[in-house]
Amino acid sequence: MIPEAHIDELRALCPEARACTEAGIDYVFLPSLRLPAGCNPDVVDCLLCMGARDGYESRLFFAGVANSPTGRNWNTQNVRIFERNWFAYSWRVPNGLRPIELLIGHLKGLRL
Amino acid sequence: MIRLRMLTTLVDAIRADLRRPHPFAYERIGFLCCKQSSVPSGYLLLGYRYVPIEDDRYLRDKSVGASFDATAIRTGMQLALTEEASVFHVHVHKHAGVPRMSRVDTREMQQLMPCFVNVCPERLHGALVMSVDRAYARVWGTALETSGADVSRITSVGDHIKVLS
Amino acid sequence: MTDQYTRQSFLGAKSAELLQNATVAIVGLGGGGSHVAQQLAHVGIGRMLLFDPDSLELSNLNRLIGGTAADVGASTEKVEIARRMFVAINPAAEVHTYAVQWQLAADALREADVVISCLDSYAARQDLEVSVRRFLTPLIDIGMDVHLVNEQPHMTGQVIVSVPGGPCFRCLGFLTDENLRQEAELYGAAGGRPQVVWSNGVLASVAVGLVVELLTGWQRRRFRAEYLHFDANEHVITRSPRLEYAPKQCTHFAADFVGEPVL
Repeated sequence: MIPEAHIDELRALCPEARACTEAGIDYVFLPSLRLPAGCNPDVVDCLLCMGARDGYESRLFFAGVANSPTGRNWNTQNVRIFERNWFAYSWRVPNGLRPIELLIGHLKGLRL
Repeated sequence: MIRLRMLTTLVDAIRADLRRPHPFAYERIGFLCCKQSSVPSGYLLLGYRYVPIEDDRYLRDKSVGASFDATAIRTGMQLALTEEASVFHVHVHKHAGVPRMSRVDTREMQQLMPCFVNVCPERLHGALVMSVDRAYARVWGTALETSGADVSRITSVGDHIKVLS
Repeated sequence: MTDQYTRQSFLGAKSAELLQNATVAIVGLGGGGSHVAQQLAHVGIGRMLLFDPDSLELSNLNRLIGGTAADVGASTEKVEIARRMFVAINPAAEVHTYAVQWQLAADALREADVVISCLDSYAARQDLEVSVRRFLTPLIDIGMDVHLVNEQPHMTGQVIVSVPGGPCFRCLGFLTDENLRQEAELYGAAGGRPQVVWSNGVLASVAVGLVVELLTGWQRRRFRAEYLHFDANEHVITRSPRLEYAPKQCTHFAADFVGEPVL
């Protein structure tokens, strides 16, 4: 389970952030997360997996592909988690970061 | 089409509970909680929890197999409300083959079902009648006609998929 | 029992009715799934749900049952090839096709009594198992691979049955973080996976036998999971020892892992 203190930290960027678990994998649901400037859509539901999944040390999933000025490779499409379809772009963030740094690190890929 | 699906372990647990003798009631009753999903052909109801009615909630009434008090009804309503569940009134007919609702069953459901539908109108609620080896279920809800609808297919999943309906 | 099914009457007096009234889904109608579809048509499954986003290509023709050279030219959808084949064998069947990834028609998949997974990645299998477990649906997975042993090609495959409540793919050691990680590292470099029709056929036939067993209970044996290895070089199927050591009840999916979640 993700410690509540970690969720509190993420609430600085997403006030409605909450922990959830599916099949033994912990996630943080980030509803209506505001994306970096220039993204379309500018607000989208996200799911942060702070542990290893699908070969990544951590991953940020988006409820839809977000077009950004940086033009990322959205190599994960329609992965099904919590009975919704999610998308993610190819992006690696180093281990050992605090939760808020991890989230910002994942969003950095969408920022010029 | 309305489907009801649950694990065989849950069906076994329900049957084991309903078989227990009661101090004075001729039969036992419980509530089955289900998650409801929409599917292209209608609805899928997934049984996940059975809540027996406690012994001291039964009323002495020789005119029926079993009768329960307002507290038991509130238990069922609470399950529907707090778990956002489809709730089934469950009892057993002690014969083999596909059972049917008796006139007493139908009369009781006409009184009970509105209670569940009122607290959780977005879900179907119903009656599940089990026999020794089969089952029958009927559901009511705001999405259906007032007379309700039969559950077309009741299955249990375990060593194999058993069709109960 | 109609004349069509008298030869399989040993499956039980009600077997034809049970099979006719069942809904079976196949996810992936390539080399494995097309075999499964053909056989399920013959045994009399009455309702089918077919999921595959792809159309037939020339490289599929060495193994895709029902596919023709004309289909390659016409880029016929794989689900259409399977549907066409199915109703030619069993015109009374109801066949629904979804020429999309199953995730885009996931509500339809919930109707299935049994789902057969003919996908070609661990990640895809992981997602599918999580979803079908929510809807209390048994899942049968088939797959084959070719790898080099002492520079010689060695073909192997598996048939795995995951029943809600029983051991899952992770309990059985089939799905691990390590093989998901290795698969992710190979992304884009794998190319077309080696596949041949005869080993697909063996795996598909075993899977169909398990579908029939699940739907009819004809063998009256207790099983909560199955894990069969196929050595296609030696032509031998063996039961995996992992089955013996897997927990009787799943340790990854909680007992209340049922239905659509509330996020």
